[in-house]
Amino acid sequence: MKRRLLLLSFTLLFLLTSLTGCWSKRELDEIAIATGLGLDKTENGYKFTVQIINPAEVAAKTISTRTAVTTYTSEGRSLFEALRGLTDKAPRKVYLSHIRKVVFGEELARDGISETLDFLTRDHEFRTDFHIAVAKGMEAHDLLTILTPMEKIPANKMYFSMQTSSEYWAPSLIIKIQQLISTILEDGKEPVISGVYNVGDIKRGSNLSNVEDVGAPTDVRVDSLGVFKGDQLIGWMDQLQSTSYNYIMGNVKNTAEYFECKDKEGSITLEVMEASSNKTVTIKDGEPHFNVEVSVEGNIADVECQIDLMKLDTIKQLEKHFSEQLSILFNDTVSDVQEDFKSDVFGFGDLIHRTKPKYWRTIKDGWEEQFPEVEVTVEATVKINRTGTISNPYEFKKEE
Amino acid sequence: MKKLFRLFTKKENSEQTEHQPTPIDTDLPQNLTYIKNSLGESTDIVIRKFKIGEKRTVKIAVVYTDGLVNESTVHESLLETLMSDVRQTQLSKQALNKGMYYTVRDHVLTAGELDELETLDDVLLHVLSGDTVLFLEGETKALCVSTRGWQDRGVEEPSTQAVVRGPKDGFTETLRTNTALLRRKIKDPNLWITTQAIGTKTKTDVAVVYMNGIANEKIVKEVHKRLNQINIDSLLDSGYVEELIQDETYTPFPTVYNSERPDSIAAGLLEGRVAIIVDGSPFVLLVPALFMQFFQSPEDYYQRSDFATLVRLIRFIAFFLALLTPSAYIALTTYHQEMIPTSLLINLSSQREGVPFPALVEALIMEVTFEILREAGVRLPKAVGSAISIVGALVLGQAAVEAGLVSSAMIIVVSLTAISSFVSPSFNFAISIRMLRFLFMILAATFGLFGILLGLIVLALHLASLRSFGVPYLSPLAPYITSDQKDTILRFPRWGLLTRQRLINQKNIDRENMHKPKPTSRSPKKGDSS
Repeated sequence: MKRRLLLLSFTLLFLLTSLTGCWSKRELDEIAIATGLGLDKTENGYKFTVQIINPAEVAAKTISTRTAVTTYTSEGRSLFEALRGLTDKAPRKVYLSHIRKVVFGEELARDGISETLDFLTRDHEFRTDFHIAVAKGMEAHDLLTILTPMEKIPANKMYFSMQTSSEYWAPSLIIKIQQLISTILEDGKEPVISGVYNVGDIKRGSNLSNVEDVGAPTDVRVDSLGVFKGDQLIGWMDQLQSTSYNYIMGNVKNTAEYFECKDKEGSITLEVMEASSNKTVTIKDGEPHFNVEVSVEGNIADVECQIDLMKLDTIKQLEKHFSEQLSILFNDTVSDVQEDFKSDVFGFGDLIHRTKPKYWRTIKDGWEEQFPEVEVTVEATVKINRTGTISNPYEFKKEE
Repeated sequence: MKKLFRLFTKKENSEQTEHQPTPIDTDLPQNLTYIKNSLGESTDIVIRKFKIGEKRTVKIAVVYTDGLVNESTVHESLLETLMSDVRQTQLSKQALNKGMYYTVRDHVLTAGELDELETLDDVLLHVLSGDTVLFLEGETKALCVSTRGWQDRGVEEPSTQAVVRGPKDGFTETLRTNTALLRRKIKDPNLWITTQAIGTKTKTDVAVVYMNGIANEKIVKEVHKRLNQINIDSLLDSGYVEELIQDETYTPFPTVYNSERPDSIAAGLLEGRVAIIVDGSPFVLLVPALFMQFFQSPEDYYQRSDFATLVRLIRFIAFFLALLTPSAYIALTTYHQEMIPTSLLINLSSQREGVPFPALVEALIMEVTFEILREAGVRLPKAVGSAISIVGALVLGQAAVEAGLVSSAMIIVVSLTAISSFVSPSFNFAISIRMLRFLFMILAATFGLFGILLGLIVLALHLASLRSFGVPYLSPLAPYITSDQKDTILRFPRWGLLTRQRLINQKNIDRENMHKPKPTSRSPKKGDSS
């Protein structure tokens, strides 16, 4: 009996494995690995651009005349339709799990991106760890065709330069899809998405000759942040504003901060090692008043004016000077955002929501109109920890 | 299937016919004729007839097998004493009165081991075992003198289970030598050895060795019971016994441990296991054998404990690598590309460009090629071996990739698997891993990682269902025994190994009580008296 059961199960197992075929099996040479995805608006739907890796070229040990990536574009009334429409152009089925970067065209972003987010999260092939960006002043399609030096895969280049710059350079910020969706859905908080744009000629950029040039005349930049209201792009912050935004949001990890010397010609640059921000809200006469404390710690990295760093007094003075300068910058940024964009990207509404929920209910509906008018004070405190490996700046005699 | 089995068993039963033992006749020539006829007048049987006694009246015959006896023993302590010495010795009248047979038995033969035989069948067995049998005219008993001594291999370094540090002696094909090797290691009166002959034709001596008082009596009894049940015509190697006494036939995993190393077997005996030595085989069996035992090498106990633990961990890693690397590769590259890091995926897919076969076929080709090479390497004469390894390296390595038959990543996968499968200190355990690997590859190709996981679950269930002589195969992991973890995956320092394994040995748990030595004297500190 036992033996018969064993025999039966073996037969079943054999039939099961041999007759079922291999459902959803895809060999590596049957898939087209996509690394970048560009979404643009067309008259009656979407333009869907994928940047597909050409594995043999990426891993090639010898220089060849083929590009490491190829882009395929198709149009459709919905994103998924457009994706499937790719199959008549691309020789293999597009595989989306390794997407590193999703870029929205500026036009699509200004129109609203919320409809696309459903597809990006619903489709099971997507991992949610890709970066999101907006192609500043251009179509996403054009951006994805630019070949970049160093990184053979342009989407990877965008991914990695954003990764490193968000660690070491204040203006940039990484946005991932879950975070974006929750920010759009939350009350009293508006999203920002970092912008990507090209420098140089796009036509030249899509040619292999672009990367044969040492300087790579056409390249992709990832600084500047796009301000959204709801799911619509309404404007761009410049570099200083982006920097202040990240300071206020506590996103800065490590960066360089340039200051003019006080009363003297020249500059001092601070290497910021640590920055944090603390936002509080107080209600005065039924009006919210926001107080943001940004504390910055850093080392002196670059001194280009004559000061005596060996004196504790100088350091104190510098700290005070830097704090003032930063405070002015931050306050300006907040008021600029209030005036120009009227979009609560700082999440002040959310702050009230979290700390004073009862009060939030009373002002919730009118918050959008109220935000540009609220009073915000930003106070920065700078602390200098170290002055580097040399003490005082060299006293070079300058010929006058 | 069952019918087939029955067919075989029936055959065996019919072969064995009950037959009445023939007693020894008083007529000497008749006995000798019987022996001659029984052995078909084989040329290696020596029958020497002569007369002894003061007046040379007593006819006597000496029978032995040439080549199985120690010639000098036969000559010195048998023929010489009988033919010449007897006549010179003055025996007391009393001794002579009892008859020549008793005189010879009690006063003449100087051999250490002496036996009296009553049937001719016994005579044949002893003659063929290397003993010398003496027939006296008019007696119904024959004297059997142990003169065994034949050419054997001598104690050499075992070819399997090599160690860097530790004893280098290995078992041989002679049972007596093997028991002696064990006695040399354990000089304890509680080391008990019982021997029985198994095999209707080969009459192979099988010895059961255990430590009385340490070994679980139930297991000892069970071993004897199973050995007694064996009804087979020949027993040429311990592998026969292993197959006949193991708990479960339909499993890829060995439930009987074997070793060529006396130290390994001695350690097993001291843990309370039972050893079975089969004459003619240098591989001694040890039961019960547990899953974890196959990850342990005798060297673990000769090296420092931290190193031994590390090496054991490596063996575990190697076990899973050998079992799962090809199947994981197949599953990941054909179903779960999202789990491979992007840059690795690009490399892998660039290698696969232009490979004509699906990953499974690719893997099967390479694995089968390797298995063929391995098998050829074992069988080939040593002189041709190097040629094969060159061909193998080239075929497996470069040529297959350059010809576009397989991707180069597959070569790495196959070679990693191949090397890993030889890490296990026990060869027969490695075989089971190699067999299961193919099963897992097919599962991976049909169901992806899901299939591998299913396979692992079934494997775990199967392992949990196995027993070796009543002891759960997975113990001490399942059932979990905390105190036995000290010598399972980890190897505690000696001071931590104070007790024996629980399940194998239920009563005499404590080993010797060792205490961690402390430095006895230090330079006296200030204020210390004396």
